[in-house]
Amino acid sequence: MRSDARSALLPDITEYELVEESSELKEGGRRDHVFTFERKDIKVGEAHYRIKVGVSGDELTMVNRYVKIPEGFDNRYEEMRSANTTISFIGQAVMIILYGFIGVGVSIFFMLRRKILLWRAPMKWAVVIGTLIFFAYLTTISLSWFNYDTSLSANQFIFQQVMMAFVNGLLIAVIFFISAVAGEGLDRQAFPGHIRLWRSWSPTAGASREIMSNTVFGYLWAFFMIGFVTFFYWVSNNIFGWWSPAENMVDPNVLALPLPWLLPAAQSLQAGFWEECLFRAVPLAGAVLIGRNFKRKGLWIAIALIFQAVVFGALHANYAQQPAYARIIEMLIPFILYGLIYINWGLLPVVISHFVYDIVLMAMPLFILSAPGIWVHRVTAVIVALIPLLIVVYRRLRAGEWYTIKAEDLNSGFVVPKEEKKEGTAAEDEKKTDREQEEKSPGPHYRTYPVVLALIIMVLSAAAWIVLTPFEQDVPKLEIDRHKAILIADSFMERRYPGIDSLNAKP
Amino acid sequence: MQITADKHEVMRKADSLTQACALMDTSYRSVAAFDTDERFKNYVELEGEGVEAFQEIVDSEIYHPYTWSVRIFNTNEIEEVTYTFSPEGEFLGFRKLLPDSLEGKNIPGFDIKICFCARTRVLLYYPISQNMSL
Repeated sequence: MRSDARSALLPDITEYELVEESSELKEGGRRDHVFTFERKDIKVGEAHYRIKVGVSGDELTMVNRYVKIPEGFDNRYEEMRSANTTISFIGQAVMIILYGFIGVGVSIFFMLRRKILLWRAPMKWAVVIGTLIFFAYLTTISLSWFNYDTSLSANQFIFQQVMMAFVNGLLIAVIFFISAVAGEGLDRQAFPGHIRLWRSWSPTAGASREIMSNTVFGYLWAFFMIGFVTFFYWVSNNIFGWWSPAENMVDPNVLALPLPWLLPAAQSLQAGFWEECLFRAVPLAGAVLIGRNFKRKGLWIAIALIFQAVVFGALHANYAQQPAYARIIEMLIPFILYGLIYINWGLLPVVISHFVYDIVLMAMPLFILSAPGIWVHRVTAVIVALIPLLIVVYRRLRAGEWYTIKAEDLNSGFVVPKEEKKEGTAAEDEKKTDREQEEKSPGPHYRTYPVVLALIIMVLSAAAWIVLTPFEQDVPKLEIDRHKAILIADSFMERRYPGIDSLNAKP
Repeated sequence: MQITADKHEVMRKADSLTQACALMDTSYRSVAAFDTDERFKNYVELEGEGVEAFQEIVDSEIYHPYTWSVRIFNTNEIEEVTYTFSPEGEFLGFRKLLPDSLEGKNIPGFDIKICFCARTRVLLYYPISQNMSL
């Protein structure tokens, strides 16, 4: 064979036996050979350790170590996973119809009519989250070269990837914005005793004992969750014999990114904030408002508490776990508790807890890897996880003393704008900062266009998805059904081998 | 699992191998990714010998379900090489893709096996079968 150096790439296969050999004549006249070697002394289950060696013409072109897994496993595995997919699909349907169209859509409609909707703060957060996601996806371009089709020009490929990152960031920002607008708006109406979400990090409320304790509680709860999940998996795997793939929460590919802390940070922030707005605030605050209307608040809250935890678990049921309902059971108690925390203290502690929990798990590979320079990414990930705490510590230090939460800091202190105030205060309000404008007199500066624009983008995106997705199957349309095929086969066999048993006679 | 090699290390190793073995021309792009053989992991955990067995396989290094892969390629060229390395950076295998139309000096399968024998002593274990076309 050509190149002695390359022959050195051949593995030591002294413990292997040749089990398969094939060769193929290529169109250029070159003959390619593939030799498959198998270890006969050890195997795992019915799977065999193998090495495939390829020679193209006179070149060694392949050394591939793999495990030959029994063919039937894939079918059995897919069958097993179909229950996960079904549960997850039901969860998604509930999310889209009940939370999305009814919870978010209807509440925004009514809040728009009553002119009590706050959009500036969620817009800023949406921009932050969308931008982070955009840059995080940009960092993954370095990894996407792995699946790059070389027939495409490099510039075209980069443009495609940048556009995909942009569209991802934009969609996530729009979905977050709408969910946060609705979640916070419902929360403001349902829970007058909660500290107003968008004031949590203000120079005043941010320096209060209440915000500090909510923040610290969020961190503690995240670590309780990590402990609970660890305990749950131990019990379910060791006592009930349930199955969850090892390390299925960790994506080691984070390690191959230029800024490996950015993707976990962006995804944790997006998931923590968005999911708590949509899956806690919308159903629970919605239940309070409906229950209040029907004079059965307690009953509605109790039902909503369990319902939101089940839906949230169902949405996560597509993970490879068995039994398929494992995640619903796993998430039931923690997310009922999340619901109770939200009902008592508002969105801040649950958002922080969810964010910290996610970033701890997603950034785990950074702490598994030991390589020069990795400490920079570890430290950055820790700092990012501590940002909520650092902000309130900063607010407290700046204030010099604990701030006492006042009535206007609470949801009950929100003042519904009056129509006649619109023109009278416009010039004066121009001088105020955006934050002050929205917090102190949201009415005069109220604008419906960002919400309407976001709704239009969402509808257009959904329409684009429906129009552009090739829902039809790639395989040709079947002209005959199963029974017809068996009849044809029977008829052929009868003609060819008269007297042979019919295929239909077989079970 | 201890991942002691980072992507720069495996990319450097892939570069060295590419040059030492003349697998590609001098100018090329390269990208590294960390892979998990999920199918194998699921099989061992579900139908193999369980989660502990999977961990034993990882520890014993009989097989590496976690690997670094490095792809070396050029735009508008079919020819490319993908290397696999263990999480510690040990070379495990490679695959070079060639265009079907590329000519090559053909050598009989038997001669290749002789070559394997020289390099790996495989013939000691090689069951010469009449079914195999030599």
